[in-house]
Amino acid sequence: MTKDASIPIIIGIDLGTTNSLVAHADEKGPRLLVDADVDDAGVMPSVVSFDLNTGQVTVGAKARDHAVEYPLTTVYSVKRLMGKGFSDVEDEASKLAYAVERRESDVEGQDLAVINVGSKQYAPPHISALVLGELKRRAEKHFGQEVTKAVITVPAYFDDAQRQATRDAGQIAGLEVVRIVNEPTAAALAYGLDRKEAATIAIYDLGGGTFDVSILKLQDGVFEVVATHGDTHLGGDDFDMCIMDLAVREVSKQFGVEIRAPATRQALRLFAEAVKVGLSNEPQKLLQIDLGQGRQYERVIEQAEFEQMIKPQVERTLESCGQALRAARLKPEDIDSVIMVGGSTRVPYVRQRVGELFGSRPYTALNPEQVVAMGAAVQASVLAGVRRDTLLLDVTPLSLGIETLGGAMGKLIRANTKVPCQVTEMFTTFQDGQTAVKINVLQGERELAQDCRSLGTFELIGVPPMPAGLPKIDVTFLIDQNGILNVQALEQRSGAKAGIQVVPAHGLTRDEVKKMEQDSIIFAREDMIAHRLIDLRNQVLFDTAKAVQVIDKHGDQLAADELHRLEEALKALRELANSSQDADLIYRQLEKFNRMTIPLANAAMSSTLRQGES
Amino acid sequence: MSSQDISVPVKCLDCRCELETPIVCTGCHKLYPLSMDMDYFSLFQIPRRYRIDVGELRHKFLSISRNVHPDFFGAASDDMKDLSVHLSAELNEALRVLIDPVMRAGYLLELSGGTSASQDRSVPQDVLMDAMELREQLEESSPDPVVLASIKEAVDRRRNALLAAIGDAAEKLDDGAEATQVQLRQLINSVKYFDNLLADLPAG
Repeated sequence: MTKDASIPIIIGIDLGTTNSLVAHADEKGPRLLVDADVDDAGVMPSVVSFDLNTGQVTVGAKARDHAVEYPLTTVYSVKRLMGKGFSDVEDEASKLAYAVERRESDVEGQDLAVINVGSKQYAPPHISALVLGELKRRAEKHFGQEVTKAVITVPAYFDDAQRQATRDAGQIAGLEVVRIVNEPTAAALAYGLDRKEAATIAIYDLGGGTFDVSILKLQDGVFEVVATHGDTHLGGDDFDMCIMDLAVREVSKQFGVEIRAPATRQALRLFAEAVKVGLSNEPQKLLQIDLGQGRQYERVIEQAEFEQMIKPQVERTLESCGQALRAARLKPEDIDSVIMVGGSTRVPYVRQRVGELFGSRPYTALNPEQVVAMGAAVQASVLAGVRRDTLLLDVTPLSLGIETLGGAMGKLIRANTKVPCQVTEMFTTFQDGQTAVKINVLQGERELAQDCRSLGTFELIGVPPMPAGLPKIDVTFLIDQNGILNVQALEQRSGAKAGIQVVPAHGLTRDEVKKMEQDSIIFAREDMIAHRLIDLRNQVLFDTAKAVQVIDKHGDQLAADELHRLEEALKALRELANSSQDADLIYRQLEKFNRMTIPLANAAMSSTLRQGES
Repeated sequence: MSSQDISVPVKCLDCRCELETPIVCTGCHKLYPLSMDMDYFSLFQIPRRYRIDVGELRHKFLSISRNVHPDFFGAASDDMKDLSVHLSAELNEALRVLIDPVMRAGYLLELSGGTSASQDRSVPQDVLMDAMELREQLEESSPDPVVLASIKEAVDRRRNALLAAIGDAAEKLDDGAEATQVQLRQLINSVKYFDNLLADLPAG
């Protein structure tokens, strides 16, 4: 489809918490790449579902439809886990329907958050890579050729580890990430592309799981970010959560039933989302949950009530706006236009409050879901050499520093400094003959190192043995245009480049990413049967263990012969799974067994409703 | 010591265009590594003095950025990519220092052979007393908006007076008087006390 073979195809990808999109721009401008065979209008849910029986991986709308049926093997909102340690996301992970576990890191005292699906563990970038892989496939279908380069957007307030994790995801998916662009900056690019007049604008970007505000000066094709602020754990998901919490509380009070089962929670999550979306156009919306046994939870939610629920979250975004304005040394009235980006800005209350803060009506004419991907595509066309008339000048969202003696944060680069930026700091040794120096690199605005985020330990090795204090090692910290840190060290006396070993605090090591990249290629070719067998055996273990639990609790409600048949079938299935190599047979027997447990499940459900779960 | 003393190519070695800045040819985008003795003023090709045209500085910054930013070197060799990243970082730092009046004065002071902030942290006694008194007022009367407004006004007034004095002293640096250097260092150090006060005033 491209006319000029010398111009590489670089796609623009908005890798969102809830939805992901891919776009491409040529000299005529950006457009969304839509797969006509998939019914999602180019807005693909960032959901990955694993079928343990067939080993099949589904991505997008179909995967999202699996969420209620297969809550444990359907992974969504993985962006919230990117570049995070388990301890960072422990609270949040408990609310997700799938299993997030702690994995010890190679670094002492550090851990990683991994996702358990059947017998396998996936690091968050691995899941994101599956989402990216699907978008890559769409682009390849569109162009009829391989696509290997992409610009991927991230929340402006993402720290180094989260950016690295995003880049790792691209690499695992077989995409060279030629540029990481901040989402609000990409949106500004799409907004300002055809505007000639100079302006100061604010981008208010409230997505599914993240919030950013960026203030930019637009002039003659230059998009200059003056300041940015945000919260990487605040978004439309939290609005859904408010409605969910209300329903869970009231159902418990009215019916004495606790909504805990992953499948029910998933269903409730989707209902809550529908209510939120409905309330954008209607003054009230009915929330209905069928609890079985003729019991219905019905609740009318008024817009005003919903607004009260989400008020604290919206106020937090406004505080961020205030911080960004202060950093830019601007007043609300200095902003010519406030651009609303992200699906959550469809909520009228959000628009109203943002309008009140800036004293003007927010600009809502852009499609808030698509604009980031469009901007990414425009930037991709700049990098591909298609256009040279626009220039993005962005800033680093967080201060960068090092841990100094006494556990303080010594700032080297301040938040809102234009990138690329670099600073060189001199280090020396404390002991005679010391040949290595450790540097703990931090990001954040707090005074103490422990309150900031450690990006990892940089160990300078091969320092020539000398009396303490004599070696002089210049360490250069460079934050590149992607907002990603690069470190170089030079020993002054010897002039030798000192070696640096980077131990990422929460991310994957380079070797791990490489291995995943290779594995994903091998995985595609490898004999699936072995995998399928392992997964099936685990599924048998899981399903039968669950059945045993329910039998123990509610088995007395079944007829004696029915119970006996079920227990025999359970035993037979376990034996078969242990001895047989025939995956199809195990699969058929597992299906049969699961059908047999339906009366048991019904009995359990009705007794739960009668007594309430303890 | 003026920018004319520094030896930089006047014409691009490749396309023979006139160079608007010593780090890049705006005609053919050839990049030139930064020489060690080049100061920020010569980077932008503007006169080396305190009173500068900020509009012109910004204009030049954007124009040079258009030619050195790494986004335009996607297809270049790795060496060129690296060079564009480092030159952009240098350019950003140069703008950061020159656009801020206090940092610009400090930079000129060091260029003229004066002390850096880490070498001389001294502040005139009367400024110190003044700042401490304002801080006491701030701590005692925090919730009262009227008092807060008057404190803010007092801080702003002192800060503006300091800036004016800094400007006058910085413009006199070329005379080479050591007394001017010492005075300028103290004035620059003083600003920080009032900046901290402003930062601790409640927003609004």
